[in-house]
Amino acid sequence: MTDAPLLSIENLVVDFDTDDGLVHAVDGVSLTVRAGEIVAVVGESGSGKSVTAMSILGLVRTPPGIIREGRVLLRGEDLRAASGERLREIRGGEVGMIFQDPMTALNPVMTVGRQIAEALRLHDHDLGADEARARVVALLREVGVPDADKRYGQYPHEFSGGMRQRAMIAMAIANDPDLLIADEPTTALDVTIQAQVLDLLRTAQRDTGAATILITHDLGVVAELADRVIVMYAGRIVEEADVRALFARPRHPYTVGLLSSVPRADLDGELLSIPGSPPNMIDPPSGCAFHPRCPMARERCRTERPEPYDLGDGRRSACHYADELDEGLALYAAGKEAG
Amino acid sequence: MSTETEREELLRVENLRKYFPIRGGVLRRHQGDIRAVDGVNFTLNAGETLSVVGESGCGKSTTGRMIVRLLEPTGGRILYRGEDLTAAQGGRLRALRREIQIMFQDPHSSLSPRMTVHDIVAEPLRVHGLYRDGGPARVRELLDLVGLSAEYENRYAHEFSGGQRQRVGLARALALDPKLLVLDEPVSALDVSIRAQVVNQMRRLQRTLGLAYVFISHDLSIVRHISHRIAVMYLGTIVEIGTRDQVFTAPRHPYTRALLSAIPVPDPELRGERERITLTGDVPDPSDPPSGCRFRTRCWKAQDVCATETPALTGRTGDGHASACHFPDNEVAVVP
Repeated sequence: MTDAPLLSIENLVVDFDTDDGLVHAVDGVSLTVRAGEIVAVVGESGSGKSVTAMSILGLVRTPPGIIREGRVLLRGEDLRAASGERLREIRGGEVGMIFQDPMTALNPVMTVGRQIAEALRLHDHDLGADEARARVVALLREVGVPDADKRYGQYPHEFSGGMRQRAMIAMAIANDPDLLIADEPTTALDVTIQAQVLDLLRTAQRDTGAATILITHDLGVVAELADRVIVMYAGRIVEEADVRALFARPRHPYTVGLLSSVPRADLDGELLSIPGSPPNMIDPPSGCAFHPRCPMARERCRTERPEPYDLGDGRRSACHYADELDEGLALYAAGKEAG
Repeated sequence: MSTETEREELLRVENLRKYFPIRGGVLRRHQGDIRAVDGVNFTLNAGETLSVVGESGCGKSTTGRMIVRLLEPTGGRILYRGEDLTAAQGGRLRALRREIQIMFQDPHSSLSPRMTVHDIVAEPLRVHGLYRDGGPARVRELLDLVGLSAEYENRYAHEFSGGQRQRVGLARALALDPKLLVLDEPVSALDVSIRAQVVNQMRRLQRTLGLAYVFISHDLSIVRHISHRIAVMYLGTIVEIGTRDQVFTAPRHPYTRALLSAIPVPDPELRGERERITLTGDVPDPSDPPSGCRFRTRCWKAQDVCATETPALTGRTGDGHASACHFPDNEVAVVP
C-alpha cells in the first residue's frame, strides 16, 4: 500500500442546471484521503462540500447535476467509469455512508434489523439467515442500541433520532469498510446526543480503521474528530492543513474569519464576523471568489483566480497573500465595530 | 449599564404550565397530557437578556410562545410590569402586544414571499393604525437600525440571503417599538459567519434601544455571547438559573454540567483535555415523566430521594443562582 492514497479526487467540476441558471457548485476540487485518516471538509451552505462527497459514489442526481470534469479514484479504480452494479457493490461495502437524516438511508417499511442483515448478505452471499441476525444484533449492541435483540424487529420510526443515527452507523460499518463518508452526521441531533454519536464515530473509526471523510459546517466537531481539514468556499478549496496547524495559524483570510466568528462556550467576548454574504454561485465573483468580503483584497484578487498552492508541511492555501495573513487578522479586528 | 430603568423588573413568570392533551380511540377521548411546560418561574429586567436553553422538547419554545400569547397557558401567570398578561383582553391585550414581540428561527417561512420588504416591515404599523402618520419614513428608519440599506425596501424577501432575511424579521419585530423581544432560535438556521453578524447586531440594538430579550436557543455557545442570565430547561422545568458566569463557570445542576461538557469546542489542543460527561439514553417521554427529579433516570448522582422528592429550584447562596437538584455542585465555592 505504501503512501498511495486510498481515495483521490482530481479536478472535480460539478454544475447544477436550475430555473435561475447554471449553479457552479464545485469548481476544480482536488483532494486525497490516506488509509485510516479522518479528513474534515468544512464550509458553509453552498460551499460545495456535500456535492463533492456525493460525487465520490455517483450520488449526484444527473440531471439537474452535470459532472463536467474530474476523476475519482478508489485504490486506483476510476469510479466515474465504474458500472452501476459495481458502484452498488462499493456502497455499503468498501465505502460506508452516514447522512444527516437517517431516514434517507433507512427504508421506513422494513425492520431495522432486516435492513442491516440484507446489507451484510449483499456483500457476503454465503451468510446464512441466523448467522446474519446474530451479526446484526452484535453490531447494534456495538453501536450502543439498548435491547438490541428486541430492537432488531422494530421499524425506523420506532427509533429516536439518536438511535436511528446509531442504526445507520451500524449499517455503514457492517461490511468493514475502508472508507466512511459522513455528511453532517450530528447536525440534526441535540447536543448531548451529538456527544454520544461523536464518541461512537470515534470508536467505530478506530475499530474498523476506516478512513473517514467528515463533511461538516461545525468547527467544534472538526476540532474534536479530524486529523486533517479541507476548507471550502464557493465551490473551491481555499485551504488545507493538519487540524492543529489550521486552528493555530490559518493561512487563508476566509479561514481566519470563520474561526473568529465561531461562538465558543468556553470563552467570552465579542464575536468577530465576516462582512457581507456568501456569493451567488450562478454568477460568482471574478478572481478570488472571497475578494468582496476579504479585508485584505487588492486589485490582483479581483482579476486573477488563485489556485491552491503548497506551503510545505502538507499545507495548501489559495490566497495570493497567504504570507501576509497576520496583518489580515488585524484587519478583521479593526473591522469589528463596523461589523 | 446599570441605570434605574435597566433594573426595573419587566417580566415575571409564575408557575407557568402548558399541557397538550393526548387524545385517542374512536371517540378522541382524553388519555393524558404532554406536560410541555410544567411549573416555570423566572423574572426578566428591562434591558436584560435571559436565555432559555435546553434540548428538543424541553419546553423552551412553548414558554416563549405563551409569553407573547400565541399559546394559552394551562396554568400560572405572566406578569408584564405587574399586569397579568393571561387575564388581559381586547384593547388592553392589543396595547400590551405592541410592547412584546416575537421573532422566529426560519427566515424562509416566517416572511411572506409575496410581500416587499417595505410591506413586511410596515405590516405591524398598518395593523395598529400607525402607518398613515409617517409610516414610510419609519420603515426606512427601521431598516437602517438593523443594518439594511433603504434601497432594499422594494425587493422581495426571497431575493435575500438568510442573514438579511433575519434582519428584515428583526426590523418588523421592532416596528412597534417594543420593550421585550422573544427571540426563538433567531440565528440557528444561519451560517457561522452570518450568525456572528446578526448576534452582534442584536447586542447593539439592545444597548441603543434598551430592549429586553428572552433568547431561546439550543446552542449554548452562542448563548454565552449574548446573555446576562441563563435558564436551563429539562423536560418542562427549569433545572438551573443564574448569571451567565454562574452557569458557565460554576454550574450546579448535573444536567447543566453534562450539557456544557457535551459542546464540541473548536480547539483541537483541548481534545481529550476537557471534562466529558456523556449522558446515556434519551430524554424520557413528557407524557409520563419520571417521579421526583425528572433528570434522575439519566443522572449519575441519583439517589433514592431523587425518585421520591421533586427538588425545588432554590439557591442557598443568595446571589440569584438557583438549581433544582438534591445534590448540587459548586454551592459553597461561589461568593458574589
